[in-house]
Amino acid sequence: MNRRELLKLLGLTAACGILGENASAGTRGGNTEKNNLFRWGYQQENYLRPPGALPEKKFMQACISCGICAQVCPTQCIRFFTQNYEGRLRADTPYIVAAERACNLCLECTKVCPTGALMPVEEKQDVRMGQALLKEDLCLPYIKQGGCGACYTVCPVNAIRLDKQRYPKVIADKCVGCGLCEEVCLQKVKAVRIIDESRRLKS
Amino acid sequence: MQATRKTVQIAVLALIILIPLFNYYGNKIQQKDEIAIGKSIPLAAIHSLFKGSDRDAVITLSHQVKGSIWTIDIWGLKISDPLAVLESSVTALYLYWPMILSIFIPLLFTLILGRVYCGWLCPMNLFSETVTMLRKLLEKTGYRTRDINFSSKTKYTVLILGLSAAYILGYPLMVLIYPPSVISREIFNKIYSGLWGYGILIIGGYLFMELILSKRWWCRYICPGGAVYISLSRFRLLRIKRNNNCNQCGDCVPVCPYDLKPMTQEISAQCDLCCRCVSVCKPDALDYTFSLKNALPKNTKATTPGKPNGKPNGKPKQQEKK
Repeated sequence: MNRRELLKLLGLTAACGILGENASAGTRGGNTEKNNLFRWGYQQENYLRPPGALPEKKFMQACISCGICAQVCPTQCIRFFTQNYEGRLRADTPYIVAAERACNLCLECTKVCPTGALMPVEEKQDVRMGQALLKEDLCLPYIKQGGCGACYTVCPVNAIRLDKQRYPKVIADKCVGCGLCEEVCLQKVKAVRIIDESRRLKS
Repeated sequence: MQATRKTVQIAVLALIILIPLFNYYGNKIQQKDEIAIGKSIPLAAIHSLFKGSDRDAVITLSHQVKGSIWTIDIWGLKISDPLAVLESSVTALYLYWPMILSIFIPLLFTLILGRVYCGWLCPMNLFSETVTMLRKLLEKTGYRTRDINFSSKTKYTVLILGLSAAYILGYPLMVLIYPPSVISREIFNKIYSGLWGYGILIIGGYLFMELILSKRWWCRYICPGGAVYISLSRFRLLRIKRNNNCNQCGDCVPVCPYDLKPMTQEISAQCDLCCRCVSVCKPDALDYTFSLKNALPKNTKATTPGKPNGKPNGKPKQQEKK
């Protein structure tokens, strides 16, 4: 009986160790996102799927969690839910948190997906990961904190224009939702965010 | 033969680790993240291998082979596990042609060689065999392990229940419990995020059960992937056949991990071609036969070996011992 109890104890310790490590890692990594949630007033967290993704329901049906998309991602923006988004355990499907690292639209992942959960996309302009929204009361030029234009410079599809060479404006038709603007935004609480209404996590 | 099989299994496990590691290295090179490369020992080892070579060439080379044992992409040739394809197609009720084509190679191998994936490639098999050895050691110390048996047809129930649950819930559930998928994802997660996920608990749980409760229960009774391979390998061309040399010693019966009886030709599609029975057979009475006739359905009734073929030592071994 002693041996059995010892084995049980070992198993439990391993379990606690893994869960504890993951939980602490989750709280460490989630600060940017928490700040954003607070100021943007969303009840739910926001995340993006890699480019070329099917609508959320179909995506969940098709994805077999093989991880190839994340293996080939050169910026390593694609993560998996077991990699502890906000410390929660979720089904293993790829996601992107643009505020921490954004997609640079190399479209490698769409070519390698074996299931068609990420459909091949030819041109950068055809991607629709979400829609950039600008909150003017957070943006530096609008609140008279000096000129910035980081989002204008970085946008790969020229979907942001500068009014009066100072105030950024999002051109909704052109925006592909890659999230580079959100990543480079100088504000700690991002003034520009990619919102994909269909892909909010339920809390 | 056993040594070859072990080598193949270990090589496959090494590849499951090396492919994501090399891809990760390629990503880090592309990001010019020298600090991360210096910090990690395996990355530094790979880096020293490619010291003099061209950076762009290393990046392209690192992304030539990607994936794991669950789904792999070798120079653009995609190969997927049949269970993955089946599940994804059933859950979405949609056939994505590139994915259907990717099971062609596993299908071909299974139709020719049988359930060879389970015996030779699956990393879970390697772990299970190690645990079985540990189990024997544990038994030697005097610990009484239990061996719970249930029907080997439970696999099909698990497969059908899993598929219907996946269809109802809209999520391919079996990827969360199927060992090749879980193992490869855990290794990938460890390399890419430095964290272990819950999968290690799942695999640890399976192996723990195998250690004390039921001998090799996952492969024998539960594995839904095994169920897919078994249903395909009913029509296999390569089979193990008994010839007239058999002296009914019965050595081949206890070594079979799936409780098959090669001595009396009771080899069903469960056979994963591990070849233990062939290597243990002293009079060379078991052959690999390869013919189209094997694929045809026939009388599967068990036959007892015919008369001993006139050899002096043709008597059963048990009697000789007495």
